[in-house]
Amino acid sequence: MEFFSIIAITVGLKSTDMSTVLLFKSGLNAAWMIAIGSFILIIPSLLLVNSVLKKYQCKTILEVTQLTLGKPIAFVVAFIMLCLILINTATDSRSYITQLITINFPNTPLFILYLCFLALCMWGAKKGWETVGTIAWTTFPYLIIALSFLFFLLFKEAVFNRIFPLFGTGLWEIAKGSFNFIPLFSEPFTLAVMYPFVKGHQTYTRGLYSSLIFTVFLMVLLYLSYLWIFDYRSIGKITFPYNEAIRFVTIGRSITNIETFFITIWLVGVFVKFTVYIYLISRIFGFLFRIEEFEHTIIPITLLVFVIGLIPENNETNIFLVRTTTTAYVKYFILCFPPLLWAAAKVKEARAG
Amino acid sequence: MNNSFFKKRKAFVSEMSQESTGNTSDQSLKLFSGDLVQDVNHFKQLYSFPSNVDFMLREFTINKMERRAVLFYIPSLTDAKLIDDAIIKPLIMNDREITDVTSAIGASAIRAEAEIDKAVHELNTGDSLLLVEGQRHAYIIKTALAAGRSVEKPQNETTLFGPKESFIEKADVNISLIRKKIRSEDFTVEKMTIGGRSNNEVFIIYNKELASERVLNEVKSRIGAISKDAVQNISLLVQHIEDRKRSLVPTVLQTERPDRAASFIEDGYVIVVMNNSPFALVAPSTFWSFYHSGDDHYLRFINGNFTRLLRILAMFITLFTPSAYIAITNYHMEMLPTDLLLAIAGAREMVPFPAILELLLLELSFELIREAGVRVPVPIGPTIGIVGALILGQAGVEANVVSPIVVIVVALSGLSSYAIGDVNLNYTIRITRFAFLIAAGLMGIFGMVLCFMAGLIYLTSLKSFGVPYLAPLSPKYKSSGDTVFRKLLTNERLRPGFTKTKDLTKDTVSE
Amino acid sequence: MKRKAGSFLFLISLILLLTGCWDKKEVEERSYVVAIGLDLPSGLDIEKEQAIDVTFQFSNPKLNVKGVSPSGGEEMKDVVSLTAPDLVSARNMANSFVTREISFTHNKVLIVSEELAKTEIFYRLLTTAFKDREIRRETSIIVTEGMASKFIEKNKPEMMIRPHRYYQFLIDRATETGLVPESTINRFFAITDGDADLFLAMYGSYNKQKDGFQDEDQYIAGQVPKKGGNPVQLIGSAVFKEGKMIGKLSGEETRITRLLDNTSNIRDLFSSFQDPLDKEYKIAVRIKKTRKNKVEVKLRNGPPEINVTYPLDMKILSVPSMVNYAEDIENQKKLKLALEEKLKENAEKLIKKTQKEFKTEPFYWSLYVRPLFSTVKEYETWDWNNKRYPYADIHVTMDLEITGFGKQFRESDIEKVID
Repeated sequence: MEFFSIIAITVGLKSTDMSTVLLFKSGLNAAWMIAIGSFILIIPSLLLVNSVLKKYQCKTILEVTQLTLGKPIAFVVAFIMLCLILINTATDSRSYITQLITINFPNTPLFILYLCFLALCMWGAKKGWETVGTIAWTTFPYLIIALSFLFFLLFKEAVFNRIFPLFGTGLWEIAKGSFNFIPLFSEPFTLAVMYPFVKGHQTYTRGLYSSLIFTVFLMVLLYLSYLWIFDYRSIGKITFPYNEAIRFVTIGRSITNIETFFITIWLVGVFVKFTVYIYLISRIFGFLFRIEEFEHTIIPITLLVFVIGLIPENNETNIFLVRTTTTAYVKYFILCFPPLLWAAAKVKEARAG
Repeated sequence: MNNSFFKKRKAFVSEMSQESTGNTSDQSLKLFSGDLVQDVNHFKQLYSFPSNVDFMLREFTINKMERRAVLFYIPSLTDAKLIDDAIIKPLIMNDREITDVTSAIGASAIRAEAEIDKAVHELNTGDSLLLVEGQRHAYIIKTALAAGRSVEKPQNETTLFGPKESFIEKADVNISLIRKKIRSEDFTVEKMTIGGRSNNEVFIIYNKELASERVLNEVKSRIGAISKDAVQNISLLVQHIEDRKRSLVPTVLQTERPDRAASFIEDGYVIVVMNNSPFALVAPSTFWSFYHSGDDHYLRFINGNFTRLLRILAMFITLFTPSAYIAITNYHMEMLPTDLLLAIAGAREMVPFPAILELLLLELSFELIREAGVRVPVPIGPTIGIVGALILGQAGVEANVVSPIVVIVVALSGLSSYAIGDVNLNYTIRITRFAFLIAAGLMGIFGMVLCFMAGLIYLTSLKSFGVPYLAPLSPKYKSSGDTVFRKLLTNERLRPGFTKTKDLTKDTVSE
Repeated sequence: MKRKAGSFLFLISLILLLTGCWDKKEVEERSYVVAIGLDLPSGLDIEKEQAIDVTFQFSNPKLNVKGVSPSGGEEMKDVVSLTAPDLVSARNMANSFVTREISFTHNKVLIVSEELAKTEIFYRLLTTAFKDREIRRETSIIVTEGMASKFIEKNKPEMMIRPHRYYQFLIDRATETGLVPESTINRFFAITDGDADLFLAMYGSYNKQKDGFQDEDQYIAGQVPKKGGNPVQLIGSAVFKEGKMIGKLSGEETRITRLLDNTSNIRDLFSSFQDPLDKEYKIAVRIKKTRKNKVEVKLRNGPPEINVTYPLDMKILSVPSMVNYAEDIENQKKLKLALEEKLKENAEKLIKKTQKEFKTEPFYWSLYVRPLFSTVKEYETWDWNNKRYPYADIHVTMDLEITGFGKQFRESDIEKVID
C-alpha cells in the first residue's frame, strides 16, 4: 500500500512542474497522449525487470545486477545510476523551489528556502524507509482529495473542445515525444532498489502496476485540464502551469483566490517526493561503496544535492539545458538496461541448470 | 533501522533491571528466632518504640495454648476493629484447644513469614504481625485500612452517558472498580514494589489471554529498572517509564475512569495502578488513545461520530488558526476576499505592533488566564472570567493595542483547545500551536508546511512500548478501524492488531 | 555540545523572527490597487518612445473602520496617474508619492482607453505585464471611449460602495444580463493566441451622448438616456482582432453574440420585441438559454457551410397591447413565428456584419472547426480566420420555446376599463 502511494506521489508530481512545459512544447495539444505513449513504451522494460526480480527474491536490483553481470559491470551501472539520479534530484528540487518562490515568495532568497526544504527532507529520510512509507501513505488520500477538488473546480472553467485537433503535431511527433519523455517514468526502476522491503512479489507487482496506471491517469487528466483552460498556444508561454491553474479557480464569487490551499497540499507532496529521492540516493551510494550503515551518508549526500542544485544561474538554463541532456541519457539507460539484465539472468540460469 | 534502535534500547533497559533486582539476594537473611523477647526488642528498636507513637504492640497469652504472643501493628494503617474482633478476641476468648494459630484467627488472609525484612515490609503496609513464642516464624495478617476518599465523580474526563465513577487513591478499590466490569479468571493482577525507601506498590493488570507478551515484559522491565528512592504515585511513575522523556508528545495514557481502563484491558492493553493516585496508566498508547474519549462509544453511532468530527476540527482549528492568520495576512494576502482584507487593514491602522507580536501577546495572556483558572481558589473563580474578558477583549481593542480580529482568532483557538479531552494531549497541542505560529511568522505557508511535515515525521517514527504511535493508521494493522471515526458497535469486530493480542476477534468465541 | 548548538540555532531563529523575513509585510503596509487604467501618454509620441499613462485606483481601508465617516473629498486621493515605460515599472515609480508597497493582488479590472487599444503596442504591453506574478488571469478588461484615467475618476458608485465591490458587482451583473461580454485576460490570451476568433472586451464610457431614444439594447456605452446615478456606463463591446481593437458592437449585438457563443453563460436577459398582432406596442420577454447551440461545420471544396441551431427559452412578461396570448393557441403560434423571425433576422444581420466588417467571428466557433482536423498543422494551414470564415455560408435555425407567461396570464380587458 505504501508502495502505491510512493510511486503515485513521486511520478505524479511531475505533472505539476516545469517538465509540463517541455511536454507541451513538443506535443502541443496532444501532450497528454505523449504521457500515455511513454508509459506504453516503458511497459516491456518493466516486465523484464520484474521477472528478473522474481527469480532473485529478497535482493535489491543492485545486488541482482551484481549477481548476474558481475561485480565491475554492476559497479559501473550503479555508478551511472547514482550520477543520473543525483543530478536529477538536484535540478528537480531546485526547479520546484523556484516554482514556489517565483509565484509566492518573490523576495526570499532561494538559498534559505532550499536549505530548509532539504534539511527537512534529510531528517525525514534519516528516519528510515518505514517512516517514509508511512508518511506517503498517510498524506496520499488528502492529496487525492485536494486534487479531485481542483479538477472539479477546473472543469467549471474548461472548454472541452480545446482538446482538438486531436493529434496535435502529428502522430510521428507524438511518437518521438513519447520516446523522449520516457524518463518521466524512471522512478519504478530506482524504486526497484527497495524491492526486498515490500511484502511479497505479488504485492510489489500489483502495487507497481496499479499505481502506475493510476498515476498515468492522473497526469493525463491534469494535462488535459491545462489544455482546457489555457489552450495549447498559451501553455507554451506559461512557466508554471500548475500554479497558474490554481490561481485561476474560484469558489463562487467571493472566495476568489484559494491558491494557497492547493500550494500547501502540493508542498506536502513535494516533501515526500524528495525525501524518497534522498533516501534512495544514499542507498545506492551505500551499495556502491560497500557501506552498511548508509543512513549516516544521508547528511553529506543532502549537502551535495544542495550544492549541485545551486550551480545553475537561473531556472531556465536549469530546465532547458541540464534536464534535456540528462533525460537523454536516462532514456537510453532505461531502455537498454533491463533487457541486458534479463538476458544475463537467463544465461546464468541456463548455465546453472 | 527502527527495529535496531528499539532492540538496543530494550537490551539496555533489561540490563538495568537485572542490576537492581539482583541486590536483594545479597543481603543476609534474618529469620525470626523462637525467642519472643529478643524479637520484640528487635522490633521495638527498629520502630523507635515508645517514642514513635505510631507503632503498637499488644502482648497477650493465647488461651488454651498457654503461649505468650505479641501482636505488632501500625494503628494509622490498620483497621482497629478488625484487629480486635478477628485476631485478639478469638485468641484470647477461645474455648477450644488451639493447635494451629492460623485456624483460630478469623481474619481473611494470614500467612507465615520467616524473614524479618519481609515481615517488616508487610508491617509497613498495614498488615499485623503476630509472634508466638517458640515459633520461628511470624504470622502476617491482612488488616490494612488507610484513610482516603470515597468513590466520586470524575473531574477531568466527564461523559454524558458513561458511568460516573472515578478512581481513588486506594489501589485495591481501584482494582475492584475495574474488576467488577470484567468478571473473568483471565483478569490478572501482578504486584511490583519500587522505591528504595517508600516501598510503593505497583499493580500491573492485564488479561492473560489477550495481552501481548512483549508489551507486558517491556512494562515490567521498565518499572523494575527504576532506581529512585521514592516514587510516590502514578504521575511520577509515568515520567520514569515513558519512551521519550523529553518529547512533546505523550506516549502513555493516564485515565481516571475505570470503564475506560476496563475497555483497554479488553482490547489487550496493559494497565498499571498504584496507591495514592486516582489514575491508571495504559500501555501501550497510540495517538488514537489520546484522541478518543470514553464518551464516543457510549453515544449512538451518528452522535459519536459527530463528536469525533468536531474534535478533529477543533484540533485543526487550535493548531492552525493563529498561524494561518499570520501566514495569510503577512505573506499571502491574495487569499482573503477583498472586503475581509480591507476590514483587517482598516482595523490594523491604529495598532502599533506587527501582527505576529500582537498575536503572541494575546496568546500568552490567554494561556496565563488559563493557568490561573486552574489554580484559582473556588470562591473567586468566576471573577477570572470577567476580568479576562474585560481586560483582553474590550479594553485592548478600545485602546487600539490589539485589533479585534486577533481577539477573535485567539479566542477561537483557545476555546477549541478545550475540546481535546486528554490533559497531556491538550498541553501538546497548546505548545505546538506556538511552534506553528513562529514557523508561520518566519516563512508563511512554507513554514507551516515545514512544521507540519516535521511533526508528521516525528509522530510516525515515535513508538510507545514498541508499538508505532500512529498505528493502526500508518503501518497497516488489522484493527477495528477505530481511528478518526468509529463504526457501529456490531461492526467493530477486530481487536487492535498492534497490541499483538492472541485473540483478534471481539465476537464471542464459539466452543 | 549538542546543547550549545541547539541554543545557538534557537537564538538565530529568534533574530529572524523579530527582524521579519524577506517577504513579510503587514497588511497595512501595502496599498491595494483595485483598478488599473492604461492610456496613451499625453504629449509623447508612442512611435519613438515606449511609454504609457498608468492610473491606479487604491482602495481606502479607512473607510471600512466603523465610526469613520467617508467624506466625498477623500476618494479623490485614491486615484493617481503617472507616465511610465510600462505597467510593471510604474509600480515602483508610483512609490515616489505613494507611501506603501503597491500590491496588485486584489486588482479586478484593467481599464484601457480606446486609443491605446487600437495600437499594436497594447498587445505587447499586456503580454509582458503578465509576467508579474501579481497580475491574475481572471482580471477583466474594460475598454473606454475616452481616457481611462477620467473613467476611473468619474466613477462614483451609488450608495458609496467601495470601488472594489463596485467593479466586482458590476462585472458580475453585467455579464449576467448579457449587455457586456465576459472579457478576462485568460480569454484574451486564449483567443488571441489561437488566432481564430475575435475577442470582445467590455466597453464603457463616461460621456453622455444625446443620440435619442432607441430600443433598450441598441445603445453603445454613453448613449443610454438617464439621469442621476453614476456617470459611468457599461454597455456593448469593443472588438479585438489579433490584439488590436478594430470596432465596436452595440449592446444588442453583444447579447446576440453571447447567445450564439457556447462558452458564455447568460442568466437574465430581458428584451423587447414588437408585438406581431399590434404593431404599436412592444412585448417584453425574458430570454433564457438552457441548451447549447449546435454548430455544424461542413467542409467543402469552396467556402465551408455552417449550420447553427440556436435554442432559446422565452417567458413573456408584459403585453401592453393587451392581446390575449396565453389562452389563445393561435395567437401563441403567431407570436412564436414572429419572434423566431425577428431573432433570426437579428442574428443573421450580426453575422453578416462580422463577415464583412471584421472578417472574423466573435462566437468562438473555431472550437467546432477543430474536431474536423487531426493535427494542428492542418488546422492552421486551413486558416479558419482569414480565408474561410468571411466566405462561409451560414444558416441559422431558431428553436424557440415559449415557456411561460408570467404571473398574470391575462391582461385586463382595456375596453372595459376605459369607458
